[in-house]
Amino acid sequence: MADTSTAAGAGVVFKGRMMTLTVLEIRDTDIERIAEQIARQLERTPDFFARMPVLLSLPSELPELARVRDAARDAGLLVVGVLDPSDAAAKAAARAGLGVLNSPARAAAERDTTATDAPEPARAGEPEAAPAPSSEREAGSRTPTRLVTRPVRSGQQIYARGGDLVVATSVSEGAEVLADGHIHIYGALRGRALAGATGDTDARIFCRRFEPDLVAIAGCYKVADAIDEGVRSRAVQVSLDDDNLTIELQE
Amino acid sequence: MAKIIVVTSGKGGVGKTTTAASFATGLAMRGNKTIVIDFDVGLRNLDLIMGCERRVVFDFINVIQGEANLKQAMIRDKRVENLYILAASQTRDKDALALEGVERTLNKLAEDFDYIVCDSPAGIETGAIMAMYFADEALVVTNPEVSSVRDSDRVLGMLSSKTKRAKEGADPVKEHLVVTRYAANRVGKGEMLSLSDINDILGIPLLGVIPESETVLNASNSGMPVALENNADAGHAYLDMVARFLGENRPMRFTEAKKGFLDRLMGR
Repeated sequence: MADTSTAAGAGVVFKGRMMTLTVLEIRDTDIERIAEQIARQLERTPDFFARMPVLLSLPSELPELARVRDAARDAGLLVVGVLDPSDAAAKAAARAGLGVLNSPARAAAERDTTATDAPEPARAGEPEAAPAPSSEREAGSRTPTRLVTRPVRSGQQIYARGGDLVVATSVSEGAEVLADGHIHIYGALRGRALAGATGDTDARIFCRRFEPDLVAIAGCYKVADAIDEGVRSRAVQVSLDDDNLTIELQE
Repeated sequence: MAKIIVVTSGKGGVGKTTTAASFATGLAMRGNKTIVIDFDVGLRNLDLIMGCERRVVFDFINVIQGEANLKQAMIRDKRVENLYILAASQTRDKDALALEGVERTLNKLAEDFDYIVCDSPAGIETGAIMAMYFADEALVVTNPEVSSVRDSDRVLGMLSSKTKRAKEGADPVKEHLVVTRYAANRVGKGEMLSLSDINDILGIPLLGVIPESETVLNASNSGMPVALENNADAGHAYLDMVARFLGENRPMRFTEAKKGFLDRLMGR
């Protein structure tokens, strides 16, 4: 994700990054056997794995996490967290000082899974699961609105992932703006606008001058030809009503 | 330090080369040491419009590839002092334009010139990107018709994302709109987009309006930049444009339809 939250005047900036992490899948509960197998595996390619951060994927019956972590460390691996843990596993991870990461599909299914502090949040794999301070979560966890102040030109594509999009000027013909949330356009919309890009049927599109190529909400779309001439060049609001794209004038 | 200006449009045939030639000529006529470079490698035209096609020995690609030095490749205009031309190669293709070679050449020229005018090829591929990459300012040339305006919009998007200034987060490339082949009477009949229609879509400041004129074709064919034609509307429009670019305040001309004899008679 591209958004960056900067504390005013601070020497610290939190940034989201997409990274690939290796997952170490544990299928046993016997620490001795786990340690031995990790060591044997790594002996073959010691350089490749040197101090590599890994995530643990745990079986339903939990091994002792602190000892797994130590065994991995002795073999040269750095365990940073556990992947998609059960509630019990999440608690055990917190006790062992490990972070929790949920894959995006699961994160969406369980929005309120509590996250613990990962030792290296900046290197976390999936941004959706990047540990956030719990206070911020309670205040409604969402990505800040993306603001675009320059005209969106033909051929450009802007995607506000996970949040709303505000375009202060116009969206040209042949340009495309997308948002997981609402889209607000304070100039003319001449290109395509797709709100609720990941399926939010409550998302809406607001625009001051409506001359689009195409508008869509949660995959339900209308092309220019199918849009009533009466709303053309007017200020409108587009919403989704039982799979019907409704375009209302806003005067 | 020279100012680098790219003349670009996206669409072909809208008057980029004509504009680059007359703009550079106008700058030079006002005492600025100016060079105009043809970036259209493989389809070189600027030398024809400037009337120096018989004097091309070495070209821009020769310079980039170190086969000739700049002095050998620069062609001095015979009519206007301070005006130089760097022709494109006709036998190579646009892949011969390497970014570092272009940069080296422009830096060298910048020591010596006031203005470097880069005549971009049509399209949005390598050649066009090379022409705009180092630009400080851009003349976006548009005809009053929808496809040209859309292509210009695309190019404006590239100016704000693909140029050196954009990549280094410096001040953005300063954009100017030049509308060519404008026929006010056809706009009046609704056959062409009006200036306000174009402004509505592109939203960048208008630097000049060049009227549709037969003189342009005749001048091009005889290797004479239109700006040197003393009694042509298009020539005057280009000189106005140069004056505005240099900060003078000149009202727009040639934007209203000429009234015919009958119109006047009937008080229309």
